[in-house]
Order: sequence, then structure tokens, then C-alpha cells
Amino acid sequence: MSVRELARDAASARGYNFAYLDEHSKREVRRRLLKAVAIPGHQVPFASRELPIARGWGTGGLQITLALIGPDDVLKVIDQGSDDSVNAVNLRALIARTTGVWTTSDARDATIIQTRHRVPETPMTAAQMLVLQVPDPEPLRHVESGETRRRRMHAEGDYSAIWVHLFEDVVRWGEVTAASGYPVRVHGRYVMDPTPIPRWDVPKLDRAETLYLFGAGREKRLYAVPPHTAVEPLEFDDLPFAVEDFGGARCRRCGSARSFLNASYDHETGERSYVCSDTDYCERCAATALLSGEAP
Amino acid sequence: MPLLSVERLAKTFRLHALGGLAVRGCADVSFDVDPGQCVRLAGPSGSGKSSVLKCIYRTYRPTSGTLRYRAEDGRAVDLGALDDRGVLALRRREIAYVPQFLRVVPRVPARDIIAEGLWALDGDVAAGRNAADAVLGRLEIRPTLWDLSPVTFSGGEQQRVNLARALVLRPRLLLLDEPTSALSA
Amino acid sequence: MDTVPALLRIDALTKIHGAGCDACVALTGPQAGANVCPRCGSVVACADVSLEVQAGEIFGIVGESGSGKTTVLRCLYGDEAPTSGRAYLAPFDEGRADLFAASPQRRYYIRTHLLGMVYQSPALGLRMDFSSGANIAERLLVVGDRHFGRIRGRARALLERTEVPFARIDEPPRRFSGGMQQRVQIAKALANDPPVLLFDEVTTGLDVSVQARVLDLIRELRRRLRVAMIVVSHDLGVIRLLAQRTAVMKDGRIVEVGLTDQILEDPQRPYTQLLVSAQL
Repeated sequence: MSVRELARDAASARGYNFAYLDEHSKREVRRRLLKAVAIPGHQVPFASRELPIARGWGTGGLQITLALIGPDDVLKVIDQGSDDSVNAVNLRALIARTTGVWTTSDARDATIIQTRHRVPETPMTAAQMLVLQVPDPEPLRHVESGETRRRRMHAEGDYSAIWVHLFEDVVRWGEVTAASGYPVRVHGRYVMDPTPIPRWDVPKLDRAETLYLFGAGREKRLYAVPPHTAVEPLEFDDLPFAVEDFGGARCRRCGSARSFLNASYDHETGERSYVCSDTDYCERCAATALLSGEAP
Repeated sequence: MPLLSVERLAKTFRLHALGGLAVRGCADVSFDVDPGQCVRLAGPSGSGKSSVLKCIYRTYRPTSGTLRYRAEDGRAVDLGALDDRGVLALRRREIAYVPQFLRVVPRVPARDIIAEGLWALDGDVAAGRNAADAVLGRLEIRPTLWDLSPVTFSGGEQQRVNLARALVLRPRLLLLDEPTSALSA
Repeated sequence: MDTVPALLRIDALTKIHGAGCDACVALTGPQAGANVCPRCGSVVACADVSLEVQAGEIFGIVGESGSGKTTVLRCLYGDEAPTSGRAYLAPFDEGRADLFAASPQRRYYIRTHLLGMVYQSPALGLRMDFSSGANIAERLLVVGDRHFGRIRGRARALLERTEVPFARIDEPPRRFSGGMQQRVQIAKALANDPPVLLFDEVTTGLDVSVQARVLDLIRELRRRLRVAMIVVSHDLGVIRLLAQRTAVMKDGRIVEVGLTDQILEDPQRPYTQLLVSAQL
């Protein structure tokens, strides 16, 4: 018997079904996901289950992962790009303990990656899936307070309210100020909130190889972007969408100038330095740099 | 062939608030107007002259009788029975009415008031203004008044603006209601 | 007369609030002197309203409160769904498709591309907390314009045309006077060049001098743009100034329709005579 099988048996011996959820719950999520994939960018309501973590801590993403994961999957969980944050560690532990699957921090080896607020820097393949945790699925939340009215707007393709907000942003600040969760148009039809990923990650969604699945547990909505689907940020013809500009800064650890960087300050010297947000990518870059003697 | 043939025109007003009281505007009026001819309706006040003109212009709906008008395109129409659309079309190009009093929009300069009728036809602002100025000149209205609203004009000047408004359209039929009533001798 | 097909045609528009019954229409109206059906209590806001508007024409609808005139506009614009009736717009499917039977998406298209509406209360037609420029931009964004510079330029031109000082383009209408708010509404309604403009009591509630300015503007627009308009008002003076043809409504029905000067000087129906004689 392998270690994985042992782990799985221990879980079931304690009365847990494989992947914690009962089979009916998994079926509910899978069915809704099929609908979500069939209508890219459209929010599908689903019967979101109670889990042993509080709402607002990734229950939506977790339910997707639990519904889809199989014994042969390899799991990676990140939070803000890091495998080591408390939330990522706890989610990974829950899933691993109730399934016995292998877990990894290497984005190339995972078959399912669950994430909060970042898309991995390493390009994902058609054999992988990215599950994103969604705090609030509704891109219209700031522009229209009535739920019925919002649903009608989505149904009629009436996104003028968002556009007016963007216009007013440019009038006031000279540019669209959304730093994260930048509204995008999926498959030319629905406007979607890509979750609070930075602008840097938005282009990764467009016509990708990978299936992207979005789960909002508290709001009870699922949505999806199938592979090879157009995902276009809302922009004006004369003010095109642009990603963050780090002004030539490089990661302190690995020297990368091609990844999303977090700024940090040395408390004593006050000096500012940058570090890759994606820890896995950073480690591999650092290792490569070490071996080849070059910065990536 | 007369331009306009009025046959046994009668207009009676029915006042419903007074129990359907009938007030006669005019009765059994018949006359012809040939192209280029000037026909004068004379009579004491209250004899129905205005009513006849207003029936022709269709401000009043005739109670009975016919108003056979030969339009520019050759067709003969009964003005009393013509639909609203048809009347508006004739008023735009062929039949003009000069009322006894000038009821104007304030703040609009005289030359604009006059040019409006032409503008409604083709929207050519410059041509309209030129035509308006020409008519204003012919009617001897002082140029200093052309850019003012006629609200402050004398009775005679207002009447001439009235007339200018109709003349600028070069109508085939011109209806003048008491054109000299506001003028001094 | 050559029959030019109408730009807009409404057939037997009826709007009943409530469950409705077979007798609603028969038991309400000017003869009954009421809008409320005595049998089922439903309110017949309007019934059997039919009218036609030609391209470039201004059509007036006059009546007192409860006459149903505003209901007609709201049903046409899509703010309310009629109980029955049909409507046809020449630019929509060449005038062959009934607006009221169209899908929500097509209705949305009509509302954003073919109609413009100016409400009595500017708060209904404007986003009061967005700049006046953004308000106008909305109409352009909705029809697919995505060029910020061009949109802003057009907003500026429209504000100029409606005599709103350019300096106020970035201010929200909440800070404007009533007259200026209405002018921003008009600029917004014009933004996408609709063939038909709807005005619902636009000057009601404004000071007389301000009313005059707004009316002047509407006349100027009619002269310049040749856009067809339906002007709803309880004020005969406004109707006389603007409309070439007018319908008189009472208790949800059209009581008389005709040339505006004929309605005012030779009213045929008892109610029309009452209305005309009551004007100061």
C-alpha cells in the first residue's frame, strides 16, 4: 500500500468521504461547472456547501477543487503567489488529508492549481486547471446596487454603467484606476470580474491553453473561461490597457525582471527592494541563475 | 380653371359647455379665385370674413360645403376634407395665411421668424436669411429692426413682419386677414 | 396626397395596472370620467391610443394629470410594458416589426439607438453624481463608441449646442440649476442622433424665463436637426409653440387629434373646448 493510499484510508476510517464532500455535492458543482464552461464568463448560481472553513476564506475555490480532484491528481495551492502562506497551507492540508493526493509547489508538476489573487508566472498547459478563489463575482457591484437590475444588465449586455465609470475615471485621473480585478469581456459577451488578480495577470487569461474555473462560495456563484477563449480588458481605443510598470526593477532574490514584483522595505535602512510574488517561479529562477550565472 | 373654388361653405361652432349652443361663423359662401387674381371679402365686423379664410387654411373645420383647390402638382383637393398631413404639406409650400395679429415667439429676431418657413423646407440657413432680408427690404422695414424680436415693434411694423413671413414662401394662394386693421391711415 | 409611411405608428396601445377584466376598457374613459374600473379596481392608464408621427414632425400630446399621456411615452421608451397594442418605427426592421413584441435585447437596441427621452425630473434621465460629460458619454458608449477623445469632443459639442458652458463639463448635474439640468438631459438625449425624441413635461416646474430658454432650444433643435419629436405637456402654450399636430387625452383616451391651430381655435370635442377655454 502506498503512502497516499494509507492517507486516504485513514481519512475514510474517520468517516470522511473522498475529498470531504459527499458525492451529490460534487455532482452539483460539476454540473454547474459544465454550464459555466458552456457560457464563458456567465455567473452560474450553485448550492454552495458549508465547509470547515469560514466564508470568505476560499470556500468557492475549495468546492471546485474538491469536486474535480481525483486520486491521481497533483495539487498546488497558492495565496498571493506564495505556497507558504497560512491559508494556502491549511487548504492544501485539508485537501491532501481527505484525498491522499500528492501535493507540490512546482507549477509545472501540478494538475490542479488552486489560487487566491494571482495567476502563476509559469505558463500553464492544456493538461492543467487553474481554480481561482473569488471574493465577489459581480463586476457590476460598484455601479449598480440592485441585484435584479444587475441580472437584467448582464442579460441584455447593458454594460454602459461600467463604461461610464471607466470614462469618469479617465476624466478625473487621466486613466482607468482599477489596480486589480480589472473588468474583462469574455468571448465578446459577458463582462467578468477576474478576481483581484493584478493587471499583470489579466493577459494570461486571454486565449490560454488552460481551463480557468472561478468559485465564489459566499456569493454562491461559479464561472469559467474555457481554453482558447478571448478575454479582453475593457479599454478605450485611445487609452489601451497596460500592465504594471516596475520601472526596470529586478527581484532581489532571483534577478527576474519579467515577473510581478512585491515591494518591501528594510525596516532599518529604509531601503526599498523587490521580490517576486510567485515564490515557486522565484526559486526556480534563482536556481537557474545560479547554474547559468545569468539573470533571467 | 380657378385656383380655388369655394362652394356653399358654411361654418357653425357648437359650444358644448353652453348646452351645444350653435354660433354661426359663415353660411352659404361661394366664390372663385383664379391664379394671380386678388379677391376681396368685404363686410361688417362679425360677418364671417375671418371664418372663411380660416376654413380655407383649415384652422377651422368647415361644417359643410366644398373648398376645391388646384394644387401645384395638378390635383384637385377639397381642403375641408383633406387630412392633416396634406394640409401641412400645402401650408409649407403653397398656401400662406397672414393673421390679423402677430403672435410671435419672443426673443426670436424678425429675420429668423421670416426665414423659418424656408428653413423648414430645405434647411439652407444662408439662403433663407437672404430671402428674408430681401422681403424685409421690399416692405420697407428698417434694417436696424431686423435682428430684434418684433415684440416691441409698432402695429404697422408687426403687420409687415406677418406679411413678410407669408410672402417669403412665394405661395400660390395668399390669405390676408384684415391686413390694414392695425395700421394708421 | 402621396402616402409617405409614418416614421412612428402606435396602434391601440393599452396599459392597465392590475389584474384587469373584460369590462375595464368599457367602464372607464372620458364618458365614465374615471380611470379606475368599477368592477375589478384596476387602473386603466391608457386604452386604444393610436397615433402617427412623420419624420421631422413635432407631435404634441396634451392633457391633465391622469390623462395617460406620460404612460404613452413610458411604454414607447420601454420604461413600462404595455398590456396590449403595437408600435412600429420606420428605422426598426423597416417599420414591419412590432416594438412591443420585440425581445429585451432588441428593445434595448431601440431604446439606445432609435429613441431619446427627456424626463420631467432630470434625476430620472441623468446620473446626478457623474459629470455632465460622462452622462452624455454614456449614450455614446452604449452604442459602441470606444474612443475617449472623440466621445469627449462630441459631449463638448452637444453641451455647446444646448448652451451649457463648457467649463461645467466635468461637474455633476447635481450642482446645476433646474434649467441647466434639463439642457444636459436634452444634450444627452441627442447624443446618438435618434430619429425620434420624446419630451415628458420638460418645462414643468421650471421658472418661466428658464422655460422659455428650454423651449427656444427645442425649437432651434427642430429647425437644425429635423428630428421628429413627441412633446407631452399639460400646458397648451408649450404645445402651441412646438407642435404641428396635437392629440388631446382625457382619462386614458385620445379625445381629439388634429392640427394644433385647429385644436386651439376650433376645438370640436366638449373636453377640448373646456381645456382650451380654461387656459389663461
